[in-house]
Amino acid sequence: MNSPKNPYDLTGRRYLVTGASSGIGAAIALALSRQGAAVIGVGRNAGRLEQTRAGLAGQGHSMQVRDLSDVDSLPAWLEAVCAESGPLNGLVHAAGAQSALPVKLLTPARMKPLQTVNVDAALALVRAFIGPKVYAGEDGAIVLLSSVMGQVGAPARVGYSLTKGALEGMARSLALELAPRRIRVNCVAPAFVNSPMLDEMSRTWDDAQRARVEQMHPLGFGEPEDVANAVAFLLAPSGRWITGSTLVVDGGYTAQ
Amino acid sequence: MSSMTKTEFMGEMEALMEMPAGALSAETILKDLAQWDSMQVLSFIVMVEEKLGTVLDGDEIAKAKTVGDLLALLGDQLQ
Repeated sequence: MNSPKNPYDLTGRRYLVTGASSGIGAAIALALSRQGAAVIGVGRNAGRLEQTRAGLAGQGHSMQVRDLSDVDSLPAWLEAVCAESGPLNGLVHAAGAQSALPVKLLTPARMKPLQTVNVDAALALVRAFIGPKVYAGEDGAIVLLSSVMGQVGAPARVGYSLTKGALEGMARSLALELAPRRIRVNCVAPAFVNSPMLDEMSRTWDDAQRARVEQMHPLGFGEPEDVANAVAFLLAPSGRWITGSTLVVDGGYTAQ
Repeated sequence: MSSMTKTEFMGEMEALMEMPAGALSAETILKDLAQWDSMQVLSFIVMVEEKLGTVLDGDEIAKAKTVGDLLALLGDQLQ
């Protein structure tokens, strides 16, 4: 067996990272670049993507301004991106829409944006990734960002839980279907980390609620790089025998 | 900026809490309403955001004692 000297090394590999303009996605782009990977960052905001790019280590990165809710266009777009940058070894879907809505308000119209970005875009990107114009043919790995809400529940998180649970189910069956092509598929399930998503959620909380949520994390709120390092671990040779699983990175949230 | 009358707004709140029309007044004390729980507060925030385009702060809502205090948070947006 030829084992690499550094099992975390990503030199010579290229990854697409969605949600790369902020929070966990930006931290993932950074972590992968520090391990030697070339990163194609995808986000909606050109200015913030540029900030992400400015922080990346090494060469060969590119940033793509793209709204992932235009799901049908994603496969052709990804082929065009790879025609320019070269093929991919993997894909990280860190883009996600947040939702805190009592079920009474969870109408199809309010559910759709969540479902589109969190699930439908993930599926379209995976479909595009496995094609010969996109996948480099070796060291294939996909990581889908789930959440502790894919594992446990909370009031008003029905819509969000539904999408994150869907990703974990998707990852297990994809892992089996894609194993013959040597593509591994896993999820990472974080609890709350200090990020724009937490800021957005916590707007509606009063001080007491914020304290209660923080207390549910025995190690406190996490940082985006705590999640990013777990993603890098799964993509790298360190993860080569891991597929179809969900790595929970939650400061103890689900241990209770 | 979107706007509504106070009466229309109160009607929206009554619908949200499944109360008969006219059940709420500005003097209604929120903690006396069995329906006014954390899920109702979230629904209220969503209703305000969708109808008026304003995102209320959880802390400000927590300080409100009466329905009138909630209306006051919206200032000029309620006529």
